[in-house]
This record gives sequence, structure tokens and C-alpha cells, in this order.
Amino acid sequence: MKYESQSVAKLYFIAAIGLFVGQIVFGLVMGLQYVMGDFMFPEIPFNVARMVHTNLLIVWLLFGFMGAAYYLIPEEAETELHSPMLAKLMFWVFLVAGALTILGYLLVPYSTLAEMTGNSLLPTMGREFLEQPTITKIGIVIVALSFLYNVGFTVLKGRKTVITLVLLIGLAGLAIFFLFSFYNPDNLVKDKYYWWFVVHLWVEGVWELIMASILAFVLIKTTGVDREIIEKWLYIIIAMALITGLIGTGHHFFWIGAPEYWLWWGSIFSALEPIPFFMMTVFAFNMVNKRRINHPNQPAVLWALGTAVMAFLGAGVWGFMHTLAPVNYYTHGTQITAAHGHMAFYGAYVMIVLAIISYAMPLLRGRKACNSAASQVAEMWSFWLMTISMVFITLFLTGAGILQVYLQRFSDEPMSFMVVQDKIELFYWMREGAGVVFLIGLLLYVYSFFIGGEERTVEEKV
Amino acid sequence: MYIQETIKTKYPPGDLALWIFICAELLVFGVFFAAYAFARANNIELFNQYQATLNTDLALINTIALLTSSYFVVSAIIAIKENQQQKSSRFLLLAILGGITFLIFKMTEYSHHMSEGINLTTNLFYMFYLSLTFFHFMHVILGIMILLVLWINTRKGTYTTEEHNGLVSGGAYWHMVDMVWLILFPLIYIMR
Amino acid sequence: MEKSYRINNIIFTTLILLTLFTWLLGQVDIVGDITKKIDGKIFFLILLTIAVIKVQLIGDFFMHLNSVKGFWRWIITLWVILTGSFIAIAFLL
Repeated sequence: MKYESQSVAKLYFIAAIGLFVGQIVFGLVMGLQYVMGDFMFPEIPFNVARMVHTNLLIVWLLFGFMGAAYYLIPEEAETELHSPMLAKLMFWVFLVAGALTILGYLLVPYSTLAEMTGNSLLPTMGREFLEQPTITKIGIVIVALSFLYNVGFTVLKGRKTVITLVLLIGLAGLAIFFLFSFYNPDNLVKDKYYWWFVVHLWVEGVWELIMASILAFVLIKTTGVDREIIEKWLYIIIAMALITGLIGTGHHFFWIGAPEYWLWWGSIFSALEPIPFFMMTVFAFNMVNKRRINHPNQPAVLWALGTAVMAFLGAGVWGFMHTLAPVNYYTHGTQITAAHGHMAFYGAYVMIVLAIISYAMPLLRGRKACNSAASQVAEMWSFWLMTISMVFITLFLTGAGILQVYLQRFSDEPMSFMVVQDKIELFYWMREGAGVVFLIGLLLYVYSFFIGGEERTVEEKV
Repeated sequence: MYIQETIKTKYPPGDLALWIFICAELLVFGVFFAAYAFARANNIELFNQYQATLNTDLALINTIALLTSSYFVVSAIIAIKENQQQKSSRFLLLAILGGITFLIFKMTEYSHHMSEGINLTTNLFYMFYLSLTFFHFMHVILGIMILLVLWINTRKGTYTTEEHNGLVSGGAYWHMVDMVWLILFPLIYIMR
Repeated sequence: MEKSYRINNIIFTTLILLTLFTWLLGQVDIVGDITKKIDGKIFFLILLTIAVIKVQLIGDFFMHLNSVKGFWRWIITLWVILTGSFIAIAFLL
């Protein structure tokens, strides 16, 4: 750690990992509900478990992104953070608001929560992933604005690099696109448009910029490759991510009542969305091959390479699989989507946050470069456990999805939704099994932070 | 200097990262062209009928404008190799004018279509015609902006006989924009 | 360097001539009387071949891929052949 104020990142990272564990627990609850419908009913019905699972994911990733920014921006800008106090204050505001929201989901019926929080004044609740009460949404905006103010002024007074520029564009975009969640038109088509302007432009637009810049930072630090080379790659990756990602929004407009040309625009441009992810893979491996130092923090390098590969597979390949309109006509809203969602989020965003945590946390905890060998071994085991079980979750869900599409929509005698759900039960059981392994991997990951021992410190030249 | 040119290199002239970007761009256009061709195969009558409403003469002028512009970019690079910055910047200015000519004529075409009330939803042919040409139009604008940067740099004397990688890279991008039009022109305006 | 300018001029002139020829083919009304005997598919093939040649010329001489060896030497060729094949399949089959 080079600057005192980078230490605020630690709070954010710890909260992120804590919420991550919560997310996975609810994922397991919900996975079980697929096969045992009344499990934990009426305490935690399926819709609540799902809401908590997805909302926790978003919140913890946001914690991760902010932590990453608080860590890397002072280092890139070569100056202390504008206001560490504000960063700490906003951390607690965000955490308390997040916790209260989740408790609200769990303790009172959703409609009561809407009444309690005065949703009728400015109705924004009730949309998938954006279920947060209006006051929580306002809270998120305040946190995001103070965050942007804080990191923005840090960059302004310090060195400006391409990495900070791209990260700032990504984070500003994240805040701006969130504003669409406040507009909730009565017209269902319009409603869907604005909803996608948040959801799609986040995960297939600005979040990719955040991911690419964090990846570039970790690679600069762990490979010692020239900044100039890494920055060039960053430019072309974000250019491609924006061209394909922005117009690619069209693949959500196929069946919502939008004009027909979106079938073409959406199909063509979203079919090309794998390109930036492919570039990231080539980029990461190229940089590691050209490395000038052998960084002693091996798990960080492993996460960085892992995120590049898994993002390409999950977001790129699994996304491409059902993005063309003629295919999506059959697969829309089936378990295929779930399979894609799981591997894409894990590969692109979970792993990049874990990569920066893996790199930064030892330094934040006052170590010279990395954790002890024993801790590193445990962390790498957790990497493989989580990654492989996620591959299996994805494969099982894909299997379930293909069967579902066939039985429910493609065969000569289509069956009803619930009948089909019974038929694909076996896949859900296997998915739940893989989910348990994922939780074990995650717990091992948490445990690896508590393994002591002698640290390796030396950076060897290649 | 002269010997260097005869030795074959492993990577194309210019920045490799930019070449990867060029490949990605070409892929986007390639997919778009193929989509056009296959959509046409299912609607041959419709495509032939509305293709006849396009102005091939303007498209010809535009093709020549882009080719000439590309020609001047190549000339600018040769001039830099001879260490003639003045001459090089003049060539670049001419190249930019070529690009602007393209934009002006293309906008004339668009305004004509607009006055007839044609838009993306009119029919499948116009959807493709407008999408493809507009997507290319945006690339021409980007290309011109790149050429402007190169022109300013050249005037500032950034490039020398030894070091003019930026100029070559930017030039390659501009040639790509030109190249795509060379397929687009016959495909949309003439082939039937 | 004089040689470079000369090559540049030759390539440019060729490109312009090929473009004019393409345009000229567009002026011929395939369905009309004069060319009734000429099969439309031949027209298409000529147009496509010209387009491919033009792209190749730009790649080789303007982008200077003729001074490159190995994979990158053929990158533009690869693209234009692939794209051209798809177009040809769609037009001819």
C-alpha cells in the first residue's frame, strides 16, 4: 500500500465478501425450492429468496467496484484520496441502507414494504433486479454521487492515467444509467425499454469498462509490462465493448413490442459482443506471457486469467448461444438464460472483484506483497472449487434449458410449464449439488484470509 | 531505409492493437453484409424493386471521394518518409476534404430519403440500406476525426522519417473504412 | 521514393477504373432488352470479383500488407474471401 487513504478499500472488500456469502446461501435456498417447492415456506417464499439472491449480488459487486476504485485510484493518481472520511461515512450509509432493505424483503411482505417506504409517492418498485424501495434507490444515488465526487477530485488533483479515465467513465455511466430506474411508465413497452436501459447498459456496457480497467491495473502490477502497451489494449477493448454493447441492447427488444428492425440490429450487434471479451482473454494471456516479473502473489494472477477466460465463456459464448432472434424465439426466458446469467456474472464480475481483492488485500493488511504460501494454496483451491462448480452449475442449467425448450416449446406435443419443471427435476438436483460445492469453495476462500505463516516477499525478474 | 522495405515483417505496419481493432470492425461489417445477402435471398423481388430507387451516381462520386482520400493518405505517408512534413500535412488535409465530400453527398441522399418519408420501418430493404450505410457513415466521421488528429500532429512535427507509427496506424484505419465501402457500394447499389 | 509515388498512382488509377466499370455495369438493365442473353449471375460474379480485387489492392498496396509475411499477410484476403463467399452463396443458391 503506497497511500494511507487506500485503506478505506478494506472495509468495502470485507463487506463485499460478507454479502457474497449471504448471496450464495440464498442461492442454495432457492435452488432447493426448485425441487422442493414449499421449502422454508412461508418464512422465505421463492420470490423473496430470488430477490435477495440477485439484489445481494448487485450490492456486493457495487461494494467491490467501489473498494477497487478506492484502492487503485490513489495509486494511479499518485495522491491521497480526496476525503477518506467521506468514503468511510458512505460505506456505513450504504451498508446500513442495504441491510435494512434486505431485512425489509425478509421480514414484511413486499407490498407492506412498498407502503411503509412511501412507494406511492414515486412508484419505482416491483421491477426485476430493481425491487429496492424508492428511498433505498435515492440512497444509492447519494452514495454513488459522493463516491464519484470523492474519486473524481482525487483524479483531478493527481496523475491522470487511461486506467483511471476508463474506470471513471464506467463508474459515472453506472450512476447515470441507474437514474432510469426512477422512471416507471405505465406503457409496458416503454417500461421495458427503461428497465433494460439500466440492466443491459450496466452489465453489457459500463460494467465492462470497470472490469477492463481493474483487469488492466492488476495486470500492470503483477506482470510489470509497460503501461503503454496495456493502455492501448484497454482502448480497443472498450471501443469494441461500447460499439457492440450499446447497440446490442437490441437483443432485448425482440419480443417486447419494439419495431421489427430490432430483430436484425439486436441479433447482429449482440452476436459480436463476445469480441471484446475475446480480446480481454488474448490481452490477459499475452501480458502474462510477456511478464517482466514473477509476482509472488500467484492467486491474483490466477484470478485475473480466470476472469478473462470465464467472462469470455459465460458472457461471450453462452450469451451468443441464444442471442440470435430465431434461436431466442424458442429459448427466451428459459433455464438457458439462467445458465448464461450464472456463468457471465461469475466470470466477468465476481472474479474481477476477487482478483483485485486478492491483489490488494494482503497489501491492505500490511503485508509486503502477498499472503503466506499456505494461504495462497488455500485460495487457489477455492478458485478451482468455485470455478469448476460454476462450470457445472452452468452445464446443468443448460441441460435443463435445452430439455425445457424442447418439451415446452419445440416438440410436436408441447407440455405445460409446470409439467416440464417436473421432468427436468434431476438437473435441478445436480445444480444444487454443484451449488453446495461452490459454497464450500467460498468458505475456503474466506478461511484463506485467516491462514498465517511466513510471507514470500521477493519479486523475481523473469 | 530502402533495404528495410524489402525485408518482410511479421506484423503489419502500424500498431498491432489497432490492427486487432480493424479485424473486429471488419468482422462486424462482414456479418452485416452476410445478413443483407441472406435477407435478400428471401425477398429478391422486394430488394430489386427498391434498389432501383437508389441514386447510383451519387454512390459513384462517393466511392471516388473515398478512394481519392485514401490515395492522399498513402501520399502523406510517403512524404513523411521523405521528411517533408509540409507536403505530408497538405496531403492529409486533402484526404480530410475527401472524407467530408463523402459526408456531404451521403447527407444529400439521406435528406432525399427523408423527404420521401422513408425510415427503418418502411421495408426490409430500406432497413438494411439505412442501417448499413449509416453505420458506415459513423465510421467515416470517426475516420475523419482520426485524420484531423494526424493532420494536427503532422503540422506540429510529431512524425519523422524514423518514427511515424501513429500516422501509419491512423491511415490503416481510414483504408479500412474505404475498403468496407468498396464492398458496400456494389452489394447494395448494384448487385441484383 | 519516386517509385513509391508511382506505384501509388498506378494502384489508384486501377481502383478508379474498376469503380467506373462497376458503376457502368449498374447502368445496364439486366431485365431490359440488350442484355437478355446475359445471365444475371454472371453479372453478379463479375461485380463481386471486381470488389474482391479492389479490397485486395487496398490491403496490399495502401495498407502495405505485401511487405508482411505469415498470418497477417493474408488477414484482409481471408476477410474478403469469407465475406465474398457468404454473399455469393446467398446470391447464387
